[in-house]
Amino acid sequence: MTAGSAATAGSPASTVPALAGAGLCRRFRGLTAVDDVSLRVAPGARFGIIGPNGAGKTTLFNLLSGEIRPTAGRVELFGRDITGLPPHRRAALGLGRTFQITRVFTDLTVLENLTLAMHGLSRSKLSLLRPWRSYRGMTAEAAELAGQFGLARRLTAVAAELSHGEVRELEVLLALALKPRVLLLDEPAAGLSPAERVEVQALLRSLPAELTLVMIEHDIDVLRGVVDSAAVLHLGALVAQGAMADIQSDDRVRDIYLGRAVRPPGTAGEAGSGP
Amino acid sequence: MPQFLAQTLNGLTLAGIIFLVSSGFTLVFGVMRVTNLSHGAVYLLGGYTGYSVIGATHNFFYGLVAAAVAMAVFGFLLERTLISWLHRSEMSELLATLGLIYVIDDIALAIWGGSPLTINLPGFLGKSSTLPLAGGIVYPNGRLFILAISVVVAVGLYALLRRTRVGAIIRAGVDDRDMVNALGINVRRVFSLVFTLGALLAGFAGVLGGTVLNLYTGGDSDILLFALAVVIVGGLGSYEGAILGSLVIGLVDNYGTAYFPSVAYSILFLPVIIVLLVKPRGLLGKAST
Amino acid sequence: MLAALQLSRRFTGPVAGVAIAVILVILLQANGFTSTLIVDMLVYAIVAMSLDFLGGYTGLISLGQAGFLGVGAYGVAIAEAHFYPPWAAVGVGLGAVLVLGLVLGVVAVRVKGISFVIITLAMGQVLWGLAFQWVGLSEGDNGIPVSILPSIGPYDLNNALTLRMTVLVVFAVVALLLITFTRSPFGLSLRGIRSNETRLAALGYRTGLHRYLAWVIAVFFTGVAGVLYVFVNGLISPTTMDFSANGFFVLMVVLGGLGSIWGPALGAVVIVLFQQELSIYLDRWQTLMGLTLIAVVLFSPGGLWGALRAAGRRRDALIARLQETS
Repeated sequence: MTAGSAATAGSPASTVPALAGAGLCRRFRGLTAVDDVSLRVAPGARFGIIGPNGAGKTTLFNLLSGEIRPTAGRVELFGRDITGLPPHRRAALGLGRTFQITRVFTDLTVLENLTLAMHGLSRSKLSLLRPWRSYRGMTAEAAELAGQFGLARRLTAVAAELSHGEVRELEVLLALALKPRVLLLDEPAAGLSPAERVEVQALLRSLPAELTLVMIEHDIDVLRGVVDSAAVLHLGALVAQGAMADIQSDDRVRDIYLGRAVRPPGTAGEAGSGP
Repeated sequence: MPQFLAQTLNGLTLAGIIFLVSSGFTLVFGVMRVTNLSHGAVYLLGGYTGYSVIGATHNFFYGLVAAAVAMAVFGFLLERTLISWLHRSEMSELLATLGLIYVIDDIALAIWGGSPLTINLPGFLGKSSTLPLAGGIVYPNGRLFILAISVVVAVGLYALLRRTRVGAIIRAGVDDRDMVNALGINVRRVFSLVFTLGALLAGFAGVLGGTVLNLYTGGDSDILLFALAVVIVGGLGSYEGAILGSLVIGLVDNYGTAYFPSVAYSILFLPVIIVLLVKPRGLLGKAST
Repeated sequence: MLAALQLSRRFTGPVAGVAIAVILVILLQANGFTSTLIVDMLVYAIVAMSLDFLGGYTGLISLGQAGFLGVGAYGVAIAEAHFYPPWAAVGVGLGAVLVLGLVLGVVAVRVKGISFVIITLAMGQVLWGLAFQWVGLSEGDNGIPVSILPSIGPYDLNNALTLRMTVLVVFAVVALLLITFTRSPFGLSLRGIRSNETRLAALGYRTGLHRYLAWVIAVFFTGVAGVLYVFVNGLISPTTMDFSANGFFVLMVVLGGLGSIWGPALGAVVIVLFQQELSIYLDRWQTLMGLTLIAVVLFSPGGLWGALRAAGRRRDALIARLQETS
């Protein structure tokens, strides 16, 4: 269970991982935000990427989703190299994502938000002459999706009027509307009240079992009961990867979270102090 | 060859005037994210003000100072009223300043009329000298004066930005406005200062420009276009970009007018299109916003 | 009272639409000042609606739209000056504006927001500059007259009434097409781009392509207005596409209300009235127009259409209250 090892809890090494990163690096003007990170996420896994603030989680996340290109390394989705693909192509291949700073379409209604997402992977998104409301299948599906998560009565509400928790739900629903095979979630519980947090956890637990989830989170507590395996990131490098139970009992992980200085493997010389 | 040299000097003079206008435009955008489309109208209003003051006092330099001061006051008031009312809604500010162009132009038309006016340079500046270059071309002193003044202003502004505390704050504002806020600096005062300074330079440029380019209705949209071309080429918000962009646009426009008169205006935008295709954020623009 | 309000909710739109259509058809029958004014309004309204499709829905405000009006008009005029038959000249005008839209779109979609405004302004000025300076092609400041209009069988645009009705029909077709576009999944995607382009890309949209298509549509319809313009006025000159003209179009859209298609058409009506009526009585009408734009930006960002919509919402709220009490 060392950093960079290619084993994910419970999966034989021969299985093609749902999502894999190999030797991912990203440097910004001499600053290395992500340093030689390799990880494998098995199909159907609930995978967490944890680490304190500033550990490089968001950069790693953006490398996986395609918002940023890696300086070195490779990203694979079900064995297919997607390193050079832009976000919309990755979305078409089944990689969905949510954003930490919630990004829904604030001046559109909930139904319009979801319908927009429904058309995302269909050729109909370029259709000019037929009203979007007449795509009954799509709008019905959108309404049904909203119904699953308690937004059914808010279909005609403009997203800007939704509560914080509702917006977060809508955000997840937008990603789900594309029926992704892998869903990347960027701190889905950030900024929520304890009650809303429990709601989001319940929502995540209720997602279909065949969907592979990858969440980044700085708060280990949020991941408890949601993820089964995790990778720990510190100062841009991977410190540990494995089953959630092992991660929680790992000394180095505890050191990072308790604020002791840690020299992550793979970074030569300059070990920063913990937060 | 002497012909080419004279054209180059003409281009540099034009670059100087364009620089005085575009440096204010770009700093205002850089610090405040305000696209002040009425910046060209301020230039024209400054030129007209200078024209009238010179007419009354018979002193060119009084006109120059009066125009600069009057436009600084105008800029200060504009920032304190319209711009701050719209607080940082980029598109609203752009549209409101577009409306302001019609108002300023129309009032200028009412006061100074529709026929082009020229500001005459006094004494020595109004004459020409034989330059010890390329076999001695005869060149107007006034244009050399404009060129010298713009170089002095460019160096002065550079020193202000690089060497003073205010300059450091302005540069920090261009790079990261939230940072300036977080440092507890009174951003409102920085905004006022930058906007006022920009208007002052535009008014100043109006009088200088009036000596070589004429003052006329619609002259403001021409100068605005120059400024916009400069900031696209140099990079929106970049001071060094304004210097570089002014040189490119001034020279290209002048060569274009001299050698390809039927498409001069369009040649001006050749560098704009090229920069957009190759480096959309401008030659010296920031890598990302 | 409740019944009356409910009737008004259901029928205000259609009744107003039919009434306006009938009034326009009647007014356009007679030669004279009124019908000339209306035809001008309709032509400008086509430009304003196209501009709104780009600015109000996609969030890309173009300050160079008058340039494309000019390209459509000059295309026709230059072709006729070179002895092309009238219908072929129409083809040249529309073809030129379409090709130019396709080519310049590659540059235009590279930027957004303020930079887009600046780029389109630059494009508009280049086109104006060509019309003004390239005297060999454009006759410079004098402009080019167009005297022979297309005809086929009994349908003859040289007949003033036929021309006026054609302008009305083209206006209606463009308006209905644009409304249809805005209600389609594509139209929804444009609103998504304006709201949050990054999110839309993560949902599988190639947003650049969508912006490009919106641009081409807006430019082409503006070119259509240009062809009508030169037929109606009999002349195209650089003044039609100068900086001030570009400002007027943006003014129409903002005054009418961004993102409503009909609003900008209404804006065109008001601005043309300003330009042609008010200017007779008031020397400083441009000042008044500038102040109007500033006032709309400050106090009524939704424009005239936004104000009408707000009235409609108040009526709906009243209906809901009355339904509750009864």
